Amino acid sequence: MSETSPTSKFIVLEGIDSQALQEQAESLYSSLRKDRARVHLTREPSDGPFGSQIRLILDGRLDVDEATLALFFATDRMDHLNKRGGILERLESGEHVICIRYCLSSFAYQALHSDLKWLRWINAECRLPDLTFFLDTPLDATLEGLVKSNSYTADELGQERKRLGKVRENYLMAIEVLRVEGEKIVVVDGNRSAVAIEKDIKKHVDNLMG
Amino acid sequence: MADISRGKFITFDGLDGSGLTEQVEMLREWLRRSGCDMYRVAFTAEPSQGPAGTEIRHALQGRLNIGEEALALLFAADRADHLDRFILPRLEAGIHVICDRYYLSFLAYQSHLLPDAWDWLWQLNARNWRPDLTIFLQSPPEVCMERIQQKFEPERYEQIEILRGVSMQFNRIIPLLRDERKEDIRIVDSSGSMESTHQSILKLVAPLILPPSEDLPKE
Repeated sequence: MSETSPTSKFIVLEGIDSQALQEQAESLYSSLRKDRARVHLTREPSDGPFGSQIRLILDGRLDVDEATLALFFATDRMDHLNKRGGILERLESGEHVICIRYCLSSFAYQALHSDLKWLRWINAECRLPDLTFFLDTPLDATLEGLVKSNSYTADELGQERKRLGKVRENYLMAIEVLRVEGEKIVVVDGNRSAVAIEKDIKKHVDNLMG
Repeated sequence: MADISRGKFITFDGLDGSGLTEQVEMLREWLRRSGCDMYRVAFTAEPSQGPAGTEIRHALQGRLNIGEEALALLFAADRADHLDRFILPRLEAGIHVICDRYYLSFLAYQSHLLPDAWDWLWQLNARNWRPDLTIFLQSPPEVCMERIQQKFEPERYEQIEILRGVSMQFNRIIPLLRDERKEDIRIVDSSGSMESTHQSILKLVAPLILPPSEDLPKE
C-alpha cells in the first residue's frame, strides 16, 4: 500500500444509532471545513455496486445468507478504499476522510451471526483508521428514533431492543480486542446533548491533527 | 460418521483454455446417454448465477472496473452464496453436484495476482465445503493460450504471462491441499484430444456417480 500523506487522517464514526452518527459526522465535517481543512465525508455501505447490493439485502429485497452478506460488506469496503476517488486516493492527496461505519460495524453487526475471528480475517486487508469514535447512545433514545421512522409491533420492538443490545455488547468486545492491538478508539458517552458530544469529538480530532 | 446418503461433490479446476467447460459438458452428455437419472446429478459453475457471480462476470468481461482484492472478496461472497443456496441443499438431499471451477482455481489465480496475500486468501477459503473429488485439467499455458485465442473476446485473466504464473501456483497449491487438508485431487492431462481426456475423467467420476452395477466406460 502506498504512503498516505502524513497530515491526512482517516476518522471513523461507529455506533448503534445511525441518525446520531449522521448528525455528528456532519458536525465534524462542517467544523473541519471551517478550519479550512480539506475533508471528505463518506459512509458504508458505499454508493458503489456492492453497496447497492447490500442495501437491497438489508431492505429484504435480495435474499442471501449471513456469511455472504458479511463478505459483501468486506467487498464493498475494499472497493470503497481502492476505487478511483476512493478513501485511499483521497488520503494520499492530503484530504481527511470521515467515514460513517467501517470494519467495526461488521465486527458488531455481522458478529450476531459469524465469529469475530473470521470477520477480522475477511477484513484483514483494510487500511486501519487513524481514529475511531464509538458513539455509545442509550438504547432507549435509539429505539425512540427508530419508532418515529418505522412501525414496530410491541413484539418487534422488544426484539429490536434485544438485537441492538447484543450489537452494543459486540461493539465493546471488539473495541477491547482492537485497542490491545494499538488502534485508537474513543468511546463517547452518548447520553448527552448533541452539542456536548460534538465538542468532545472535536477535541479528540484537534489532538489528532496536532 | 459419514452420511452415506449425501450426494458427492465433484469439482473441476484448471487454467482458462484447459478445456474445463467442454469436458464438463461431455461428462453430462455421457451420463445422460448412459441412462443416469439426471434428477440425481446437478451441474453448476463458478462464478455462479447469484448476485455476486453476475458482478464477477461483469468484472471478467471488463465491464466492471474493480481491484483485485475486492474481486477476491467477491469470489468468496459468490462461493458462500453458491454453497448456501445451491450446492449444500442438493448434497444434503442426496443429489450429486458437479461444479465447473471451485476454490482451487480461486487460490491459484488470486495468489498469482496478489502475491503478498497468501495467508489472507487461505483464510478466505478455510471454511468452505470440501469437494469429495477435484479433477485438475492440466495443459501447458501455451496450449491453453492457443485455445483461448480462438474465442471471440479474451477475458480479464486470459494472457500468457498470467497463465504461466497461475500454472506455477496450481503446481504449488495442489500438494498443499493434499497434505494439509487431505483433499482428493486428481491431475488429468488435457493437452491431448478431447476424447482421451474425457475417457480419463470418466474412469474417475463414473464410480462416484453411477450405482455399482453400472459398467465403467469401455476403452
